Amino acid sequence: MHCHATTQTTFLNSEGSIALVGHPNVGKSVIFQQLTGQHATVSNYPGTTVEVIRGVSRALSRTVVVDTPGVITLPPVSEDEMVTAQVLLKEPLKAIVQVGDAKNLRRTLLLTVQLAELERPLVLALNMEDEAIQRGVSVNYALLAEHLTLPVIPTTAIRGQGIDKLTEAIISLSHPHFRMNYPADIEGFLAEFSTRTTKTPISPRSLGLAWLSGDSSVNTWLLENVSSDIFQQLISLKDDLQLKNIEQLSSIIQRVRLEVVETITRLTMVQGKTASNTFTHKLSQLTTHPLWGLLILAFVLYGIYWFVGVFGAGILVDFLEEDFFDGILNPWITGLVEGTIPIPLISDFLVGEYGLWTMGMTYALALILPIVTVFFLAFGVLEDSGYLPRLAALSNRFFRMLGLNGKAVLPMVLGLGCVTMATLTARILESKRERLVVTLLLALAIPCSAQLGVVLGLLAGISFGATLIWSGVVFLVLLVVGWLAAKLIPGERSPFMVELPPLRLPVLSNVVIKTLARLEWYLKEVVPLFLIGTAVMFILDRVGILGGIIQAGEPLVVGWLGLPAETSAVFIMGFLRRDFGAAGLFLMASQGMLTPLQLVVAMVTITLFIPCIASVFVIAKERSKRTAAAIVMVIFPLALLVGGILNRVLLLLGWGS
Amino acid sequence: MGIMTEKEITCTMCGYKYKPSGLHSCQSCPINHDCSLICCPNCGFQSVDIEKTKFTKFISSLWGTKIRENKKNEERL
Repeated sequence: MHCHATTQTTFLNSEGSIALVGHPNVGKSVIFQQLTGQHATVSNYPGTTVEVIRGVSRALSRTVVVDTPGVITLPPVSEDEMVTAQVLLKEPLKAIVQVGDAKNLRRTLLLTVQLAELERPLVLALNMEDEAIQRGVSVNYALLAEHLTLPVIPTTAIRGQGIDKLTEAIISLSHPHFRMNYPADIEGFLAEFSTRTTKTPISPRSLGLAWLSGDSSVNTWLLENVSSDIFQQLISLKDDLQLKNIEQLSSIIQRVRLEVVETITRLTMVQGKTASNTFTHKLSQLTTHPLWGLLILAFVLYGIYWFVGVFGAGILVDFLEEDFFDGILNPWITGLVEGTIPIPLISDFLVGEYGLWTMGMTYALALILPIVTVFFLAFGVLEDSGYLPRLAALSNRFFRMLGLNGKAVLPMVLGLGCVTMATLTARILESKRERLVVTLLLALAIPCSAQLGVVLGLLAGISFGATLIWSGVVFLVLLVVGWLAAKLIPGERSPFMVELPPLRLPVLSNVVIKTLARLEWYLKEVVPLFLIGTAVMFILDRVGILGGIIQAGEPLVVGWLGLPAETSAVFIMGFLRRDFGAAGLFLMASQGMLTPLQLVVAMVTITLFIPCIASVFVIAKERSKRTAAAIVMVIFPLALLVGGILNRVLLLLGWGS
Repeated sequence: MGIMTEKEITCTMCGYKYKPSGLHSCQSCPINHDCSLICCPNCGFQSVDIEKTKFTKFISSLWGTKIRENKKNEERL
């Protein structure tokens, strides 16, 4: 009792607020409400658009509690994370409460060990304990507290369980004396850093570590709070330290933390098996296994090939394009237009060789729409099942060979949905180098869902072997270019950390709604582009330029790629959208104008072609106009080079000619 | 004072909750006005912003269903 009274007095006498910190969606807001009641004020953090919620806790002697935005990584990357870092760095704090997910101890502890280094009173609330128990996760909280040297309180905040103990733990203002040992040269730097910095808002050691890890807010703090002489000394110490290490300092620090977290997790957590998760858990493990994972991937690819290629491009397109459009609709519309519009130029513009209806709409609705519909369905099933993040984890092994890892894998996998959006998603990558390499690879060798659907549909008409050749060549180009780019563009690599969601049976309504939304997007964005492309082709044809382009392109198209001269027109269409060009190839193939060899060569070339116009705009906006121009300048000749080499190799092998 | 007014989207891949209007990447996208697909700021996973669709919203209302929230996924395990 006496002891409690003393800690209560110490708590009352100390100044500052309580900061709730944690990953997104771990129940911070629920704990905030449990501590403060219903009253909260929401305001933008100064100088940002990020909302910070504050409330007063009666249980904590009317201390202000700050609910900070969720952090995914530290040092901060997003604006939300910057705000949380600012709260930790600048605000007077009595204590920090980290709210963690008891189900995901590793991820939680990676943040805990960083917060413990701040040397401020810290409590770890391991929330969602009930869900952890349901999943067979058993944590030895006492042992965990012993290892971390701070109070660890299990909570199920939604039911108010553990909140009283959490309040007591906060009042105890327990200072962790947890310390991780970094390599000797880093420890030496930290000692030097500590002697040169005074009145630091957090421990000088953690400030130094944050600075070495690339935290820009620490850089700003140093500029404002130390003399320029000392700042220069620190810069040269840091540069010297980096020169002594081949690996980036941030990676070394992160590696040490990961090792410590791994050890503590192994000692304090047991993952049991429950009846409900045994099968999905096993299947989940197999999907990321180096051997079984590849076999499952091959099975998935074959399933997509069959569904999209054989069913979509074969049966559906045959029916729509040949039977319905060519057999019934187009002759009727052509007759109607030619009968009612006596001016040949206009009727040709609508229903001629490069007519808006006979080419633009027929390509969009009869050729591509059925293929992308089945592909969107297949992709939706993969997404909803939770397979894609596992594909990311599996691909990580290969992407690591390129010098890419971590979150870089996600935009690459998501590029299969929409390359434009994936290029924007590259923002989640921490290093400039990764953003640039991923943007290049997305533009070069990742076909978006619409393109992938058309390509798979077309190749299915030849054989599964043709699909394997196409995917093998594209994957090889991806590896080689990625490896070269990673070598040529200097920068650091970020570690891989992805939380795998549960593997589950897809829900039909989700898949259908997502497919409908994608089709709606396709019809609104792609069809107008097809019509514009058709109009451009019509004009080029009418003014006599198209013939000239076809003639000028002959040495490359016929001589180098071994394709019919008419394919030049298809490549022009491909400048607008790769799937538009692919649709042209589809039609040429169905008219018997292309041999299997020519079709594979043309498909590889058009897949590696410059991405759609929207993607180029995004690259220019996200990176720079110069970068966008440079990427296009690299991609265009490279696509032709690879196509030509493939043509010669396949000819030598005597395949498909 | 209300803490949240705009409807949040729960990422079906990572469970991250976010508001579509806060996505800076979407605001930079040239096809944003016609696109109802949004990317999770945590993992990049695409979700449907049903409010931005017309046809899909209509079909969805006929079906009487919504895009499943992450919690529902976990319940089915």
